[in-house]
Amino acid sequence: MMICRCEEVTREEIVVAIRSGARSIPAIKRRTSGGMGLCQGRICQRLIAQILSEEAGIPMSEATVPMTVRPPVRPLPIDGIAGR
Amino acid sequence: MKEEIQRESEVAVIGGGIIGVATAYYLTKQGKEVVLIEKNEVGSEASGANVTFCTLSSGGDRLLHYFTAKSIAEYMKIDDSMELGHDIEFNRLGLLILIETERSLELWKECLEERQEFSPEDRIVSGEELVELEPNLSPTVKWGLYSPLGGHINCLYLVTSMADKAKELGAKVYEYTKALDIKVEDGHVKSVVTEKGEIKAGYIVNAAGRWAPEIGQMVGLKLPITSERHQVLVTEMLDRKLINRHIISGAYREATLLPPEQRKALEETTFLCTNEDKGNLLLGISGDPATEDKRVTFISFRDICEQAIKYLPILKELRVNIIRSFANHYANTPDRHPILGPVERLDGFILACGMNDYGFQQGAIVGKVISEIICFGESLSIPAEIMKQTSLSRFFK
Repeated sequence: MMICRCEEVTREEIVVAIRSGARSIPAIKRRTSGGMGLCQGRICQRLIAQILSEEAGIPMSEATVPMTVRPPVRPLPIDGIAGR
Repeated sequence: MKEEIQRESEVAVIGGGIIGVATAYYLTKQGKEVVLIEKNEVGSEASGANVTFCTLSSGGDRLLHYFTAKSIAEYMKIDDSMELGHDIEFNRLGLLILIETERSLELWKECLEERQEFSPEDRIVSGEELVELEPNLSPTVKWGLYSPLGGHINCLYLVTSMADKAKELGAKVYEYTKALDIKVEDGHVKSVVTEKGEIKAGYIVNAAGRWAPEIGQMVGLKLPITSERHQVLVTEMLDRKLINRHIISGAYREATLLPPEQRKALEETTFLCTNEDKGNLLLGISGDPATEDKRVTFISFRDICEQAIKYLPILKELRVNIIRSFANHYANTPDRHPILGPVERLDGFILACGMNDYGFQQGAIVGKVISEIICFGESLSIPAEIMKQTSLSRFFK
């Protein structure tokens, strides 16, 4: 099942990352690239948190600690900021 | 639930970046017992946020080329054997240094011989060959120094899979475990005190990157390391390759001839670009003194976009989107050489720090060499006369 559509990361790959030792959304990101695509995790982060909670037995309150939000907040054309 | 940590180990490594992780990895391969502690998560600092040029660096000298060439050979072995059990996405397309003026060309020609010792096929390209290598470059780029050795690695995959493999081989890796103090007895390290308890160890490795001076202070050592923030932008995934290899502007060779205040500005906005396996471009790089802040500033964001459009006008034509930005902290030394190996009058304390901007590309060989120093008392992979130039004592002569 595809969890991160932008980076094409499957549920299985996320489970493998957790079994290798990932215990947070950023740690799963580093091992799979899940959440690093066009939507920057808006769609998949909650799903990844649920899988993490289930697989690692971590309460959802801890599993949902999000990735760092990095600018730009939404995709920005390269010439939209040059020359400003 | 409080994690119980192992209280005794042959070696304790401080720092879960590529240097600490590679050290732990090569030590476990030699059958050593290793505990690695990391204040955050593995790869959560510079080793997980860089552009991963695994090529002969454009700013390097003979010593740096030596380490890098050896390290690239290690990465090739790791990639070919798949020994980490995870793809590290090592594309081996090399590096192209962009040259725009006659003066810059002369300066790069002078560097060629030194590079060819390690990468014999390095050469100056122009005209048709340049266009064939990188068809989307701006016509203001008239020449290039093409260096086919090495390429791009996915730094996140490498650092995490190497840590996971080290664990599989028996290393203990404790994240969210900060080193608070180091105890010394009769001139020999005794233990590292962490947030989760004390760990006795015969060897303690300082691989703490930009925080290495704080670890050094715990044993009364002053390490000449300053940190610098480097900022990078990431484009959306593209359906075709706009560039094929790492590219980096070569203007800063010229900058070395300028007075320091003008030089700084040129060096800080050196343009570079690399293609990730999946089709995103990484664009950089803008540097400034480190703050705790790891965000990219508006000014740098704009500068990088302007440089990118200047060298790759197609980015503007296609209205390529920026989706993400990140920054990391380099740990710079005054002579740009790393600080490696044992320390006088402090048995068991091993330095693996001061990696400047090539920590990732030299990670494999530095980890290997540090493991050799611990296992065999000397470096086997890098000759003694080269290692001598990386010792801390060079700063006190």
